[in-house]
Amino acid sequence: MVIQMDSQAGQITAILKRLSAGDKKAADDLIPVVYQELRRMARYYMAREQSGHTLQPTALVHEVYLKLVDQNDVDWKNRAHFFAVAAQAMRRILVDHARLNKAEKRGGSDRKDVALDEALVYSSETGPDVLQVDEALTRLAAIDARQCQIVELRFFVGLTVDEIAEVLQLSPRTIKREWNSAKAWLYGELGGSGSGG
Amino acid sequence: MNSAGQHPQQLDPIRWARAKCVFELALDLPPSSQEAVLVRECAGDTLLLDEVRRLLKNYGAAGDFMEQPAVMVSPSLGGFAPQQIVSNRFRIVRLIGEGGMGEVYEAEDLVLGERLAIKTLRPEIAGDQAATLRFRQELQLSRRVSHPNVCRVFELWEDESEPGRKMTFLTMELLEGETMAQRIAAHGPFSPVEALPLIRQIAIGLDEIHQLGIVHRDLKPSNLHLIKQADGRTRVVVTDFGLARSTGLDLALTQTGHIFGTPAYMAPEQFESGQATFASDVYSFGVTIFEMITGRRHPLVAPSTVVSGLKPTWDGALAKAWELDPHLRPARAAHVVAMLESSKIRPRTKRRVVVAAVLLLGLGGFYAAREPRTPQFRLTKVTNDDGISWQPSLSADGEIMAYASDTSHRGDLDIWVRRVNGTGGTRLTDDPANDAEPGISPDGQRVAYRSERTPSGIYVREVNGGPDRLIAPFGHNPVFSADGKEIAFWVGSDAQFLGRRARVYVASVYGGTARQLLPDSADARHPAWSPDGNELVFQGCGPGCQDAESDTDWWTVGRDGKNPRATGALQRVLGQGLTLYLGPLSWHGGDLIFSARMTSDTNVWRTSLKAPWWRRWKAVPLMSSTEEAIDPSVSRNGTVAFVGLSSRINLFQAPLNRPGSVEPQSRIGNTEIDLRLPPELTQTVKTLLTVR
Repeated sequence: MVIQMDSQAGQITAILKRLSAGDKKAADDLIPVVYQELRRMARYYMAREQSGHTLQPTALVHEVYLKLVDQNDVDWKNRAHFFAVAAQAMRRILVDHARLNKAEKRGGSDRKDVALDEALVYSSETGPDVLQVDEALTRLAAIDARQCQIVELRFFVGLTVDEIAEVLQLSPRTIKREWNSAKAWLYGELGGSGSGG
Repeated sequence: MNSAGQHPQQLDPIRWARAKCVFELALDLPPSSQEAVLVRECAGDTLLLDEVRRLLKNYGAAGDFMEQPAVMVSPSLGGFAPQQIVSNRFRIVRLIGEGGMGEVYEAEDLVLGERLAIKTLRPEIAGDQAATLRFRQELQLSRRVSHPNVCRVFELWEDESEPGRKMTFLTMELLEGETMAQRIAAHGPFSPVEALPLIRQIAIGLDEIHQLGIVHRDLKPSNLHLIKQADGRTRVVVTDFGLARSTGLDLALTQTGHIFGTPAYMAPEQFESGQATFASDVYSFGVTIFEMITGRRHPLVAPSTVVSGLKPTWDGALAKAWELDPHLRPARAAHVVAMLESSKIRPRTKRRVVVAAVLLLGLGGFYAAREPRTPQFRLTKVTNDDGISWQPSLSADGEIMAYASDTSHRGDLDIWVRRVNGTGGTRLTDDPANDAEPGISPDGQRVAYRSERTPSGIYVREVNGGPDRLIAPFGHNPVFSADGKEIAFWVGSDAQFLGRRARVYVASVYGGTARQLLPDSADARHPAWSPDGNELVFQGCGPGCQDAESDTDWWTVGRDGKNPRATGALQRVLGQGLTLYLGPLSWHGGDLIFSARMTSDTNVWRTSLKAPWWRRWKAVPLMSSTEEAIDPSVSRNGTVAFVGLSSRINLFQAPLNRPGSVEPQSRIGNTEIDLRLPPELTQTVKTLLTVR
């Protein structure tokens, strides 16, 4: 006798269904929940890990997915939407934090890692400028929404080409091609050679 | 979008699609042949050609640009380091873990030489003055809790040993050992026997917190510490209570839509509105129990469907804790435990009843069907008093009914008798004390009842007049045997179900000493006679009973007190998720008729009592409930009288000549008579209801 479905998983699933049905606003309802859960889950993980150990964000998002989404619901579209939303949430976490740091004008910091939270860390030495990436992606989304999504999944969630292919139900070859051109374009946009900046 | 300014070559979707296409084509070629293909494919579109050339060049230069995920999950860079001295008083020993608010460290108090825990507050919380103020207020409350099952909280501190970096932290009891969550993760779920003592302690701790007016808000296995004691027993400590609310995370909720708490354990209303109450804590307590027993967090199903052999009491208790309506959940965690440990049967107290009317249900055709899920019956409203009329008892032919009513004197119950199909009733007793709980003889000639006069006890009166005769100076719910020669009744209380055993007596209608049906070691209540009058059924636990509550069942016993046997029927019914409404039972054919509640519906149910196993079926409700239906009495020909309780009286149309249950539309013109009782009567009724 089913007394009651897990209410939260049910709610998230309902939002995903709205997304599947084309309700773009639904993502706005979901992002804060996923955002919060990503941060909480990250803290949870790190509390259990030895110090110095790091974790790919992919594992984190998978955990959040398992936790937040009703596992009886096997609609791949919902899964795709969830990962897309998670990627956006991750992007927002980074951007929020970068804005905050900028506002604080901490110039001259020699720390190469920036703590976004107690557990989420962004390597500012090797990685591109998050705010620039964010702006470029916004421009990319205007001309190629799918490519933007692929970049988000790869860069913010850390999915592999095969994983993205599975989430988006496209062939790995297509993902790889899209990633190549997106990467080349972004490199130019972010001040790599050839952009003239 | 044009803010950057350095991108004069803004692309549109079509140009970008073409550029991508050419780029991909060229990428598969050796560099030497790329240029020729580019020129051919771009066919004079120099902007496109430039764009693709730029892409190819950037691609070559990009290397592993953006190939590494932007974010890594890594230990915090903030917080304290081991051996660091904080606030000139505490030496950090090690990081224990992270909570919702910040990190938790083991530390040594250098002044007192004691180990304690330090919990840091995240800067965004500590930096919020209003939040800090609330936090301090809540801390004042929390500090008043001094209980072994609740984590003790000491002081709020601030540390500025690193210039420009103020850390706010809390000192609290250091809890060694693992959390409940770790324990479940490592060793799997607990057996019910292992779990119960722990659950009991959680309840005590939670109720302790509630008594101070603190809502925990985030009760879950990871907030429960298991501490092995010297005597080998495990102490459970509830941690992290109440702090959430004061830490400004509520503020976060309103500002950003974030939800504080752990959704999997949250009550629906807490998840939806963020409103946490004692009742939402009870819900979380239920989810925690579920996880302890099943090792799972969801879906929330009857735990017996996950753990085989689990007593149905677990299903019932958790179903109560998970009631969607917070008001229907047990008020205290201890009540959940009481339900787990005992028969989990609700004493008939605290009803929301205002008005009662006796209704009659014909069971025509009911027994004809093999699986009588859609009984055909007539429902007739028998009493139309504006007072309280209830506790019906039908004669064998179903023609005459005795009942208790205060129609003549509000607040004073007397025994009334009426013909079911006639108009109006006759008042049989007129004592100013309450006379109630009538049992009519099979021939409808005399009524036994309980009176509160002096001496109180069981009396019998002839319907056609004559004096009251005292049968026994004690007892409740007298019922006549099929031959009308004996009366069974019981002594005890449903309200004091815990501990005290009840006894069933049988007395001759003509006087003499009442005989106790079973030895003192049995618990027996609410007796009813078998149709042939040779046996009785009672609720309780037979001779030699160890645990009258958890082993409660419907038992049958010979009229002479011999051959007491548990039927298993009550355990089966409870396992079905029903909550028994403690009250009279009726034995009809091979079935028992009783009142019980499923979710929020109180209905009259029927289940097979003595049928061989292949003819047993689950308990079935007699109606689609439009009333709260209690106190069923069944005549030999299969008419059921029962009391419909509600704040309104629904009038039922009769006859209802089609298969199926009573539908709401069968109410006469949807008329609902809203009876507003004078306050003094309402009060009286309430008193009556709670006294029983």
